[in-house]
Amino acid sequence: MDPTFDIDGLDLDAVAPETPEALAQVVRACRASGQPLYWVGGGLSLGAGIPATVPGTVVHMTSLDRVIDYPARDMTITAQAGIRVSRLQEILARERQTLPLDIPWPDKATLGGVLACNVSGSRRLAHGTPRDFVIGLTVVDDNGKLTRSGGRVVKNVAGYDMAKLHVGAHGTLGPMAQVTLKVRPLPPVRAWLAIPLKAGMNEAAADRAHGCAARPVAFDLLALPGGPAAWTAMIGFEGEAPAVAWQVAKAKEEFRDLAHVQIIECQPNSVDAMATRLAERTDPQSGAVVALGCLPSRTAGLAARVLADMPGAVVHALPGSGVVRAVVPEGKDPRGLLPGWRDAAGPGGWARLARAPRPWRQADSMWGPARPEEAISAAIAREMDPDRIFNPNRMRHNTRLPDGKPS
Amino acid sequence: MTVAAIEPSVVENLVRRLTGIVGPDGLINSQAELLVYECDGYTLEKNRPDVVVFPTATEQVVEIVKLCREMRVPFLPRGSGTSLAGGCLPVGGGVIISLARMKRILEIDLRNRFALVEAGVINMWLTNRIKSEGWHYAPDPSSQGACTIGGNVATNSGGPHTLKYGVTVNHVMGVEIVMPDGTVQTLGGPVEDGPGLDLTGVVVGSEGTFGVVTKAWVRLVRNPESVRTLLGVFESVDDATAAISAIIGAGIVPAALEMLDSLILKAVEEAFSFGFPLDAGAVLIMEVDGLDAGLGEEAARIEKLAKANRAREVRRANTEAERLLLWKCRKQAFGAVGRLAPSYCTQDGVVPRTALPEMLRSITAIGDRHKIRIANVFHAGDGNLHPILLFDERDPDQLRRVMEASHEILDECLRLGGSVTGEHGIGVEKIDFMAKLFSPDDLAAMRRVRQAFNPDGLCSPDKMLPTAGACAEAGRHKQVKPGRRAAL
Repeated sequence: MDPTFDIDGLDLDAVAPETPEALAQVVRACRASGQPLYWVGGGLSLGAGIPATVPGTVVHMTSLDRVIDYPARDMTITAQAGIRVSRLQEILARERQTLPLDIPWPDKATLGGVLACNVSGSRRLAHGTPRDFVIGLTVVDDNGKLTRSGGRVVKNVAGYDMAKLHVGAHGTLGPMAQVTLKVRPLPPVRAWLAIPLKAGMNEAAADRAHGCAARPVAFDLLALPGGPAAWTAMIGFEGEAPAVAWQVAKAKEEFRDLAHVQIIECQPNSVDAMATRLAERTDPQSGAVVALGCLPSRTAGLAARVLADMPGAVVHALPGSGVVRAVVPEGKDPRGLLPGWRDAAGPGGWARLARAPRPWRQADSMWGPARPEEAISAAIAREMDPDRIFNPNRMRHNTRLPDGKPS
Repeated sequence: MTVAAIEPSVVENLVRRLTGIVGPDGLINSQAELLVYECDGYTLEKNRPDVVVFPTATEQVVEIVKLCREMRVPFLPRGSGTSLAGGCLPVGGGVIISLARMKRILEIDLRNRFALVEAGVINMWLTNRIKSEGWHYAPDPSSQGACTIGGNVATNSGGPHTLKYGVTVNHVMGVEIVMPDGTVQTLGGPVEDGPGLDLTGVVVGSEGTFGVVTKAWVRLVRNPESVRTLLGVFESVDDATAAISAIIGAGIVPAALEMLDSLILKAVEEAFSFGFPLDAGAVLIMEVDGLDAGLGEEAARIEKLAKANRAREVRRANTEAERLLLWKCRKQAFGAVGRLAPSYCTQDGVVPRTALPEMLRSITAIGDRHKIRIANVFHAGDGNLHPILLFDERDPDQLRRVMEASHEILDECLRLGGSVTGEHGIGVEKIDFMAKLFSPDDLAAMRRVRQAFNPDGLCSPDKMLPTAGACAEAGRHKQVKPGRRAAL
């Protein structure tokens, strides 16, 4: 591993602890000197959040990659946070189990990175998001102590559910060392249908998916430049063979009149990786990506608005969850569009840059306008990281001034 | 913080000012009326609040919280009081803020799959409201006819169908909470993935120690197209638990997988006359749901696995009426326990699913050793046990043995890698176990989060986390007054 690593233009010394205790030791040393720590897993989300400004130490998490315990018949697994997603899935697949989150670039992504960045994809409609799978978590606190919450059983309400705070916290409350997940059986059969939609039919398709007789595990709308239609509906099914076969037939019938050309049944060899591939469409490893949230009923309309405002963009919408992502076409600065998209997203809606080049990464463009409840997040950060050594400035609740002082 | 009793003159002033907020019909403070609020479903410890107040709107909750803060009086929220761990016990007295009159379903939006409810809405009301349209609210604690959604949020309640559908936290999208400083915060909401920390996720299950949740946005789910409910009859508990492991191990996720042993079967049969075989060692209620296509095959696989594990017989619920009666027997099993003994105490341990056979054998051995009869009815698919210890509270020696046996059962859950509570919460009952489950550093991290929400500790004091540095009080239960405990 390189002895130095670039974080937001800061050329920083890098370490790669191989045990949770070694990770804790790194935290202790840096706490003593007040030096920030920047966690790097697969390095896929370095363009997320507000840029780092305070020099510190980069901590590569990928040497923390052991599986600690996998009692497959309990359908739980305990692994260190730096394990690559593809390796975790391979281990689970040997027992015909899976973590049904659709993680882009699984050969690079680490479990801890996925949780810290709250990554999810198409099948969240059926299976949920990272928060729904973590049943136990060990993190290092700012004193360099390993602290544990939850446990290794699937149902447990003892103590506060600290994992909920850490999932999506971008490492600002401390590094994850070890995670216990509940996992699911691998579905015996999967299928995907691709429905190139007639012009103007994406909202109708989303409405139909909401009440259709088939119960898809995924229903996505995808806009790809140069495709056979402006919008293609992607519908995923999984389960026992008779249920999947029935649903495929039923969905073809239910969506036929919306199809611009024939409905395509994806080839068996592409079915397993389909959700991952869809996630990768709007998670290129460079450039800018916008993310938006709204009520499910508004999703198709919002996605269409984004495409209209950014012709040529790849847009991926999940109308069941109200989430839209879009790759910003080269040469386009989307920051001026965010306020209008927030209005279009309706009450509670949001729009932000999920990743962007450094000059665009202001607090508002990355996290949206400040919200009142961030006072609570700031209070939590003050308690858990008073000296702001954990990934400072990444989110608004852990601001640290360039002179090194917490603000 | 540990709170001391409040001076009578302070109480008088408090009542006068609270009356100004909610009116004379909005509170009770006579000793006789307060008796109802001295405990919840956990009756082994009791303490009367100084006043119970019944706000009808968030604005009133804000005024009440601000007043308590000004007068330095502890306060805690309460739903229907069905908690089984003393979550609603007013330790040190103070003000109970009952959410019972905040019971409006404010919005149902099926197109967007959510409902907005006030905290005092009874769990079952929500499903009843939308079932004709083919939707339901998934978390279904057995007390769902009585417990409130606000209470479910506090304890992160489970229920039989959480095996497939998840517990309360998986279905709460946002909350409105009156913070301990009297500010109102909206955390999350019906739009998913809002930027920032998942504060909703950590509020769920915080047992009222982070503030008073006044509203919740909850996820609604479509009813499955079809359901198959089977009843597996086994000669022994051992065989039934082996069947559970086999079903889960085969990669089947049933909608529910519930076990009843012979003792509970007897009580349930007397109460409901379902036709349970009284000579069976245990039965399993096994339910699968989903699309009709293929569901028969899945049910057949379960039947085969049950039989491979020596099920004597597998019956099918042939009609919806039969299925509903079977679930009534399960959900009201605790009500029938009164037929077996004058008093009972329910535990809520969890073990890895594969450890169920060993755990059930341990429970039997512990019961034999302490000469306490123990009935079992529980969420087998989750490994979440509810051993019911039967006794007569008039006999102090039996009470002592029940407490010892309870603690041994929970210790055994921990030894097998489990937890002391799957869905009832820590409350006051299990606070001493927290130091067994977690290290001082783990607890310190949790305490920091509580400090962020509830810095002066007036909201639900002495709950969930043991006081820093305090040792577990050995034998604390020996001094408290026993009683019957309602149960899930």
